[in-house]
Order: sequence, then structure tokens, then C-alpha cells
Amino acid sequence: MMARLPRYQESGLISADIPRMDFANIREQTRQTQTIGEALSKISQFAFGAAQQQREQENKLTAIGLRTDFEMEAARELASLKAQVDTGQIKDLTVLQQSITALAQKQTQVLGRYSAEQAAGLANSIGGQGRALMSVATEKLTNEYRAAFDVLADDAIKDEVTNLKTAIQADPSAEGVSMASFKALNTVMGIAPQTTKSQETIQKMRDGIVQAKSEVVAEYIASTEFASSATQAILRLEANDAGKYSQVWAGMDDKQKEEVFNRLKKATERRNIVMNNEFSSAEAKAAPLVRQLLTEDNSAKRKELMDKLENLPLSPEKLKSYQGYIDGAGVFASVEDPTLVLRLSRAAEAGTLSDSELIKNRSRLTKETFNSLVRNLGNPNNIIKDYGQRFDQAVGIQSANLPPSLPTAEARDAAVVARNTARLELSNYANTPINGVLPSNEQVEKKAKELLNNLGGSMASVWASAAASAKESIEVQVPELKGVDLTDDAAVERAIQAHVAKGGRAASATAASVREDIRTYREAIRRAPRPQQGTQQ
Amino acid sequence: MAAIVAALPSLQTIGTVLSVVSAVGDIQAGKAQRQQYNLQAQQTEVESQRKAIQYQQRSNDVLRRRLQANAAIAARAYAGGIDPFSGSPDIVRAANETAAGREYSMLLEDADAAMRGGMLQAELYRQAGRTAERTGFFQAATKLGTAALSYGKTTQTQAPIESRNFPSPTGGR
Repeated sequence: MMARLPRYQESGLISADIPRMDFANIREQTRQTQTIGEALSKISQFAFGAAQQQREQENKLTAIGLRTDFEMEAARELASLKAQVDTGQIKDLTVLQQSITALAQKQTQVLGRYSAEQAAGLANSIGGQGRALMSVATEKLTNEYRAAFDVLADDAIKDEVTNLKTAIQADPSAEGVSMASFKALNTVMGIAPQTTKSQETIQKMRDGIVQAKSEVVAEYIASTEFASSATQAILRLEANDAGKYSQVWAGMDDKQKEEVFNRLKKATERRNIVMNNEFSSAEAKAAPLVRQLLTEDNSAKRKELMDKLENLPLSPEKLKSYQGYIDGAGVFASVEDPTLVLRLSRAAEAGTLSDSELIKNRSRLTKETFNSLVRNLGNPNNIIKDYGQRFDQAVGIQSANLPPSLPTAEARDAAVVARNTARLELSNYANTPINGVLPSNEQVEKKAKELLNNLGGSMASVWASAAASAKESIEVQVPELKGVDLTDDAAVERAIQAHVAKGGRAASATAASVREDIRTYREAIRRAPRPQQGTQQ
Repeated sequence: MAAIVAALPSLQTIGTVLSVVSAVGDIQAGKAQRQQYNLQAQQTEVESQRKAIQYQQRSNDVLRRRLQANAAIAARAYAGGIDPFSGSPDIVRAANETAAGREYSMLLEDADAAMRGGMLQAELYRQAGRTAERTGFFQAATKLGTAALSYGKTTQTQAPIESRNFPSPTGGR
């Protein structure tokens, strides 16, 4: 066997491991990246911090300024709302509250973007002012509401009294009256709690019930249907007989019965006044007839005149007085005393000759002289006419067809009534014999002067009333004029300008109307009586 | 006392100076780190060269042992009267060549790998050094920048408040 040839002995090498790398560069880059990141973060934080701080500072300053502006604006808005409440443009509290809330929300929302703290302060401030305004408005509107209910209650009471009277007349039984009274009281009690004076309102209705009963009963017993005279009526009532209203009468207490008697008395007086007026009117018509009878000697004519006189609704006493006056005149003389004629003629010319004087001397004068003197006696109608015009002037009537130049209908009515009363009184006086003798022209004129003076006094009151009415109208239209001296041009103008500035175009129109009223007021106080100092007696 | 206080530099100035000193320190630290990385790179290169040399020495051993084996084959063939360059001796010698060649080339690759790995690692260290140096600069710049902003903020005066047009919530003023 062949020996084994030497072989190369392999050392069993394997490839060396891949050397492990230390990636220091990546580690350093990572560290660098972190460093840069940290640096940038630090710088940005710094920058952002500064910016934020600056922004906070600016916001704070902005918010303070804004709040001041908003508070001023809110004050203006609230003042405007108050003016609207005062002038009655806002009558609904809900509308007012919504306006205040909207104002507060709008402003606090805007301010809240800058500073919650300032917004809260602003909300608190507006809220406080708003609550105060709401309180004032609530009080005002509640008062107005209650005042309106006062009027409503008064109207309701009047209506219920009228209705109650009708109901009592329809059913005068005790039960019917009780039911109608209860219904009326119940209606008013429903309104009373909303008035300013609840208890007084209910009491007014109670009084109204008494009034209704009293009026119905009084009206009945004052009528001829119940009794022909007041005396008879009283006698029946004292016997508890009130006819168909006996049950109502029986249900009345002494006070209510007293009220009925009072009403009966007033009704009787009223009736007497009417009758007296009728007599006065008859006397006025009688006077010219009497005068004609004094001078008329034609028997047929005299009879005609006497018939006319007797047909007038004169009282028997008055008719007798006239007849005595005519009969007592005597007959005419055939021969007269010239001295007497001269004296009487002079007196007639001087206007001092009275009817009584002339009639007293009738038997000493011829018919011609007597008639001449009667004509010269003058007609008191001239005086009445003359003073009628003076009365017109005194009350401001320029022409009989025109109303007096007075500012209010009430004043005009008052003036016309005063004028008419004065005229009627003068006419009655001139044509009414006193103790059978007609007043002389002198006496008529004296009476006319007296009436003219009285009329002046009445008109002074009318002017005073007109001034008060004008002042009230002025103050309602322009509240700024309250307490202002309306005769002071500068003060008045200032107040009107203030009103116009506040109210705009509508206020300008009001201002024109108010200026007219102020002219009226000044004219009225110029004519109205003024309290005189040192005249106290 | 007030005079002493007045004579002292302000706090802002002190803060600024300290920031500058700190920034300089950061730059120095970056540079030092770069030098350290450079040294590490050189050390790595030396180490890799040493390893490559070791591999070369071992590859020389492989060649020497192959030569010994082949010489023994030739000697024994000659001694046996066999042509050492043909027949079995030649086959055995060829096998020896193959085995030794495999180990030789492997060791040469290892040496090459050690060299290249070392150079790569050294380059990585140098890159890290440069990066560390730049990081130092960044840190310094950041410190200086922050100091400048702080200084500016603490020394700036309050600007006057100008009137502003505030928006109106109701649209009018």
C-alpha cells in the first residue's frame, strides 16, 4: 500500500465577523437636531410669551376704554328709554325689559372678547341702571294703569247706578231691588282691586246704590202721580206709604230717607224756580201792556189790553198789583199846572222822571201832556240794548253771531251763560214793578252798571280758568315747561328747545302747538284777577 | 450705598455677559468633542491596520504550510520514484493548492474588510466630530439669541398708549 501523501491541513478558518460600526455621526446628528429643536422651542416660546403678554396688556387697555365707551352709550340709551317711558311711547314693561337686556347683551358680548372681567363689570353696571329704570317705569305704568282703572271704575259706577235705577223702576219689589243692587256691587268689586283706592271705589258703589234708590223714590214721590204737592207727599211718606216703592222705602234707613227728603226738597225748589222764571217772563210781557193801559183811553182797546194782561200766567197777587196800579192812575185833568209840567218835563229830559212820579201826577195833567211825558220818559229798552252790547264786550263777544274769543270751549260756554244771565236779569229788573211801580231809567242803569261789574268779576274767573287750562295743556305737551315761568321768553324757549332736542320732528310739531297755548296763557293771565297784596279787610 | 449700587453693572448686563461666556463655553465644548472624535477616528484606523496586518500574517502562514505540504509530496514522490507532477501526487498537490488558496483568499478578504471597516468607522467619527462642533455653535447661538431677546425685553420702555378706535356694539359712536 502506498503511503498517504502529505496533505495541506486546513486551519478551519471562517470569515471574520463584519466589524460592528459605531454610528457616532448619527448619534451626534440626533443630538444636534434635539439641540436645534430645543433652541427653536425656547426662542419661539420666548417670542410667543412676549406676544401673548403684549396682547393681554393691549386687551386690558382696550377693554377698559371700551367699557367706558359702552357705559356712556348705555347711559344714553337708558336715558332715551326713560324719556320714551315718560312720554308714553313705551307702555309695555316687557318691551322695556327686552330693550335693556338686548343693550346689555350686545355690549357685554363685544366687551367679553377683550376682557371677561370688564364685561362682567359692565353687565353689572348696566344691570343696576336697568333695574332702577325698570323700577321707575313699573311704578309709573302701574300708576297709569290704576288711574285708568279709576276712570273705568267711575264710569262703571255711573253705568251701574243708571242700570240700577232702571232695574228698580222695572221691579220695585224688595227682592228685585236686592238682586239688582247685588249685581251692581259685584260688577264694581271685580274692578275695584285694580284701582288706586279699592275700598273707596266699593264704598262709592254702595253710595251709588243708595243714590239710585233715593233718586228713583224721590223722582216718584216728587211727581204729581204720587202727590199733588210736596206737603201731601211728605204726609204719605211719614205714614210709610211710598206708593209702588213702599217696599224700597221700608228698606231704607233714616239716613237714606233723609236723602229722599232732600231730593224732594230740591225737586220742589227746582219746580218753583221754573215757575218763578215763568212768572218773570210773564211780568216782562206785562210791563209794556201796563204802560199802554196807562195811556190808552179807548175802551175797546183797553179791554183788549186787559184781556191780554189777564191771560198772562201771572200770580194772582201780581195781577192784582197791576190792576191797582192801572186803576189808581186816576183820570186826566182838563187844566194843568204849567209849573208842574215844566218840572216834570225837565225831569224827563234829565232822565230822572220815574213812572211812579208821572202816574202820581196823572190826574193833574192833560192827556196830551201825560202822553208826551210818557214818550219822553224814554224806553228802558235803549239802556238794556246799550248795556247788552257792553255785556258782550265784557265777555269778549265781538259780534252776536260769533263766540267769545276765549281759548277753551268751557270758557266760551261760561262767558255766554254769564252774558245771557246778565241780560235776562237786567230785562227782568227793568220790566218788573217794585211795589207796583216800575223802576226808573236811572234805577235801570244803576242796575245795569252793577251787573256789568259783576260780569267783569265772572269773566275774571273765566280767564283764570282758561289760564289754568292752557297751563295744564302746555305742561302735558312739553313736560320740560313744568315749573317754568311761562311769561319768561328766554326760559320758555330753553325748555322748548330741550324738548325738541330730545323728541325730534314730532316734538317740533308739539312745540308749535305749545307756543300757541303759551300766547293764550299769557292773554288769559293778563285778564285774570291777580291776588292783591294788602287788601285784606 | 446708593453710589456703590449705581457703580455696579446692571443685572441685564451681568446676565448678558454670562450668556456670552456660556455661549463661548458651548463652542469650546463642541470643538473639544470634535477633537475627541478625530482621535477616536485615528485610533480606529490604527486598530484596523493592525488587524489587517494580523490577517496578512496568517495568510502568509497558509502559504508557508501549503509550500511545506507540496514539498513533502514532491520529496516523497521522488523518493518513491513517482513523477511528483503527475498522477496522484499532482492530484493531492492540486487539492492542497485549492484548500490553501481558499484560506488565503479568505484571510486577504478579512484583512481588506478590517481595513475598510476601520476607515469607515474613522470617517463616522470624523463626521460625528464635525456635527458635535456645529451643535456647540448652535447651542451658543441659541444662548446669545435668547440673551438678546431677554435683554431687549427687560430694557424696552413702555410705549405710550395711543387712542384706539373701539368697535361700537350698536354701530354708532
